[in-house]
Amino acid sequence: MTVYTLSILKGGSGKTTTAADLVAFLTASGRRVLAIDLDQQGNLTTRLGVTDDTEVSAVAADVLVGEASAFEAAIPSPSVPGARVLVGTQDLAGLDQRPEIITALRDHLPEFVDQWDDVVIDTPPALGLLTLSALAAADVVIAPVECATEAYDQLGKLDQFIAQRVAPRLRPGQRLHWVVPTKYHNRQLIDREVLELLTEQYPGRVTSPVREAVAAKDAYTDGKPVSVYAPRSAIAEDYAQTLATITGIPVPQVP
Amino acid sequence: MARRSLRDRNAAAIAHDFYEPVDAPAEQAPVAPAAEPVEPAAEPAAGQNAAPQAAREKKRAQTPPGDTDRLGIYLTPAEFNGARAGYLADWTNGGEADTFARWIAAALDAHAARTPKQRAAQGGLRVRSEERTGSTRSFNIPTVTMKRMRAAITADQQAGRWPSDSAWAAEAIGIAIDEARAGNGGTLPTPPERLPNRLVR
Repeated sequence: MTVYTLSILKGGSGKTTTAADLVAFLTASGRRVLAIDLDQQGNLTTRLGVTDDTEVSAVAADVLVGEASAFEAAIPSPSVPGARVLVGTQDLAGLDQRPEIITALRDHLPEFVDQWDDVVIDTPPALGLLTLSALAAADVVIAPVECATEAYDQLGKLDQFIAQRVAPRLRPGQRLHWVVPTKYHNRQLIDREVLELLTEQYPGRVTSPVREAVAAKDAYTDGKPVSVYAPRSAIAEDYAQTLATITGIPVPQVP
Repeated sequence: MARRSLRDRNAAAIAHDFYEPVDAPAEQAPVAPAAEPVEPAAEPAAGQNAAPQAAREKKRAQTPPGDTDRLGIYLTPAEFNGARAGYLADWTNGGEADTFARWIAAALDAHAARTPKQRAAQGGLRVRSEERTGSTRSFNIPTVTMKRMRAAITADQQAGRWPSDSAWAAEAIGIAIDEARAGNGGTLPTPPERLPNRLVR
């Protein structure tokens, strides 16, 4: 089982879009995937097709505090057949006062190695206990970074956070594995400069960039990952290349 | 487990219905003993003398009513569910605790009011499984109650018992559950999955 955690302090960097597409990519490759939405806004939940009318017996917050197991709480994703999701709800807002959640996923997820091949965790845009919990559980840490200076600045903070708070004890040796430049405009100088800076700063850990596209917003409205909503779009192709690099899995054929 | 729509679940969470262990702070602390008793105080508990008792009471009265502290205690699922059921039973039978945290505070107060000998006889350190089956629950408890609990634990230690905070609180809650059951005809109701924030008559 491989646990992927997507994290960056800045909101709007493409964490959730990337997480949803990672779920779709892995599922299309025949893998059994559990998606965990740790953002109280529940956007990954929405991108995976779960709506307000969907009935749930337990949610991600219940799993973190030990009131339900991940297996009990996971519901099928309506838009990505084969994937299941731990729903992100407002309940998560209260968990930043519950330190026991920090090790919850790290210790609980390995119990389901027979049920799922991969786990994809989306985190809130904050370095609180929820993010700490996701970083403690992660085998692969991915930071989607919008090609803008303020997002680049936040990447350094995430890197430092992992080095100082996670790597020493919580998850020995934890590091930032991949940086995914998002919302990339090849014609804009600032985007090219940020990409260059990232490549210099994190050599060998920066994937090919994912361009900005309205399909990403439309896909959210339709409750789907981009690669499910518009599989032949340029941004879907970008994601396929990027995610193939991260996972080491060849790009699945588009039907 | 009961199924609810995501919409209902979020609405409940926004209304703070989810995080039931942390209840609203008590608006009024339980009545504290008078700072300067006019009448001679009741016979002090065994092992305590009147002077330290008066000093303690004077100190307690300095705490403004309404102040709360956070009490984090480990409870097994049986203890936690029993407490929730006891709270509802007591309310049904005319009890005054209208929030779960107030019921817990009343249980702690009642236990602190017992003598160390009574606590040892009625409570005793309850046997718990070696395996960790419960979780830490957090309650907002009036500061005066916390001080009484602390003083009672110290008194128990002087009497040769060494309960942890959690064990002592579990003892208090266990007795309160037993009393609630006795007052409810020997049974307790099945509590709902989520307790309401506040009970209203």
